[in-house]
Amino acid sequence: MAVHLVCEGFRGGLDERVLDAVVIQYHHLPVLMAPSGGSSALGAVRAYLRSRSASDVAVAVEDRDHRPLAEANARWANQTGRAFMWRRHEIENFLLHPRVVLALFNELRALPGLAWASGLPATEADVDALFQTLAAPLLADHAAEVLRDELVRQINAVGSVSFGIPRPAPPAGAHVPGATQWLTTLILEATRLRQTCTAVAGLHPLQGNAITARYNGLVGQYQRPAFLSSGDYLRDMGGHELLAALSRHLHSLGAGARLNQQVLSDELLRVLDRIYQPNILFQPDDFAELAAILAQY
Amino acid sequence: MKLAKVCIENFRQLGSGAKPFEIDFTDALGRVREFTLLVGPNGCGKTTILDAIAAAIGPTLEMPTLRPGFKRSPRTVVPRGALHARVTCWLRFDQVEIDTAREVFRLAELNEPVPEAPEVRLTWTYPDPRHRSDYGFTQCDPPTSWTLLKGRVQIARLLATGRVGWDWFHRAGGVFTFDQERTGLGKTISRQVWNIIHGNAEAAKEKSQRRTTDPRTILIALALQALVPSADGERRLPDEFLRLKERYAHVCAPRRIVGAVQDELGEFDIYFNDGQHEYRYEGLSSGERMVLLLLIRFVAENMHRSLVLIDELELNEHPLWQRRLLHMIPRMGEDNQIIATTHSPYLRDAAPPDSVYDLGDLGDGTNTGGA
Repeated sequence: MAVHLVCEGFRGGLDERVLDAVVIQYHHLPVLMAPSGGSSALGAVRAYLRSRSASDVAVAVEDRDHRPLAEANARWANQTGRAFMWRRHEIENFLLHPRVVLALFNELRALPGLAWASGLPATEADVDALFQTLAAPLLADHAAEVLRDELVRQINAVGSVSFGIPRPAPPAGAHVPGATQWLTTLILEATRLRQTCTAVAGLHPLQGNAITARYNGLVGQYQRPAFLSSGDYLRDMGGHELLAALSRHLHSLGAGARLNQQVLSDELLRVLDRIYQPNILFQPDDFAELAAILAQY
Repeated sequence: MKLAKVCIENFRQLGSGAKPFEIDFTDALGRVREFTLLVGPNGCGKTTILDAIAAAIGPTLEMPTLRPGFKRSPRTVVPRGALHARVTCWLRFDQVEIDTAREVFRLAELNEPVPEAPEVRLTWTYPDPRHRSDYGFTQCDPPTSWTLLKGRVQIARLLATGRVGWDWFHRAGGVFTFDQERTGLGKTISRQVWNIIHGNAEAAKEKSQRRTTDPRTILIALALQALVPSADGERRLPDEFLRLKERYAHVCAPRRIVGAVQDELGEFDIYFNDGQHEYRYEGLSSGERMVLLLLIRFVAENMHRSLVLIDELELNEHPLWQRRLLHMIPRMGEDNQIIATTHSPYLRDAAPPDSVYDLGDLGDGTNTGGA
């Protein structure tokens, strides 16, 4: 029996290497990584792996993105499940823990010839303060992404707004459906779609004034000091965007062009791999929970 | 000792005077990477790069750096139409290494100046244009910086006189090459292990030409050494056997080393366990044997602060074990620089992209275009 861990990202990508380091290698698990290329392919990759051998196990973990934290918590509550979701926005958010970033900054300050590194924060609190500064200009964008996700979920709750491809059953004695069956099915699907679109058009949250009100409400909510001071922003906001902001900040201090966003994430992964201990750095610790789930197979 | 950059001219098929072949081993922050993976198909020159580095630094180190299959002769090294091969290495030494070199020269009562040179450029030309040395002609810049490369060999010599301890190998590095057979065992194994294999020091002296190349014997010796209390207060090696066991279990899990056992005839043997059954050294799979050979040599030769060249890191290993090996290798020893070759797409994908040096397409539709 083989155990596969299906993740987002490409072969050799950040997701795969983070999980390999802090879940598989840290816990010495006999688990094979299977990057899916993106969240939309997670299910297909899991299905393919299961189809190769009935005894194989494929456990998948995907980004939460802007979905509610409760949705991720519900998945982790079922330890026998096979599809999990990070409690943080995406894999980069784990690398941006102030203790990890501080450890990297300490290394940079100790390197000869990096005069710009002397201006980097020297305490965990200062790193957090830096991140709050970097996150503040991103809050309006974050609010828009959250709202977009809310609207999509509200539309999907009404029904699919795509024309489906239902295939009618063939009549008795035939191998393929005939004109009668097809016409009935197509008219039914068109009727369903019209009704769904009408219902969606009537949704209050999709009205312009409702969108404006909700957006302003979200911006106000995120701009309250508590969102930044509680540290929730490091969990909920896009890790990719925060990492990009950190990379821009380092360049503004004088870091060379070779220290690009990919190298920065690799450096943070190297530090995370060095200092990571289950349930110390992250609480709750998705990595430790995932390792325990994989270890049961 | 760290290799920051190498420039190769006319070394087999690599480089020419007009267009030298260069590899930079530093990262985006200017540090020498602890791990570099040279990736490419067969015949692209991966092993030749390792050979060029070993051939260039070896004569100054006075250590056996060349793999056993490498033949150093003008006909095999210098391509037709060229007069000389030339390899230039940019080496870095930290303050501990510089201070250690000074100290060992003082202890050896050798009056050689050791410069304060954190960066050394070593140029090796072969054959020796002066016709003086069969090993080629080496120039160092600054001129007296060759002394920095002698730290480890001087420590080895001073060990025999008891002026330094084994822990001094943590302070000065060398160059170690693992060929595809993982041979080379026993060339610089510790005296303690050697004495266990060959008897007391006097007996060892008589058998000075004998050096074991049998990993099973070395493993038994290390296991026994871990059990024997030290009578003379000299540092023993129990932690090294334990470390070896831990790392073997990490890579080969659920397989593990049980330890040394004595059979009914009083002979010692080493036992392994696959989670269900115990088996002897002869029962090891080829993948296990390769891991073991790698680990034993790391431990037995006290590889620290060294440049470690490994040809085809993935040899005989299952993809799962390849990843474990990749994860563990930089943790073997202290402050080593590993340069490994591979044509395994699994290893290439598992390594940080910045540490991958792409020498050609592996034919799997992916070209990393790394470092």
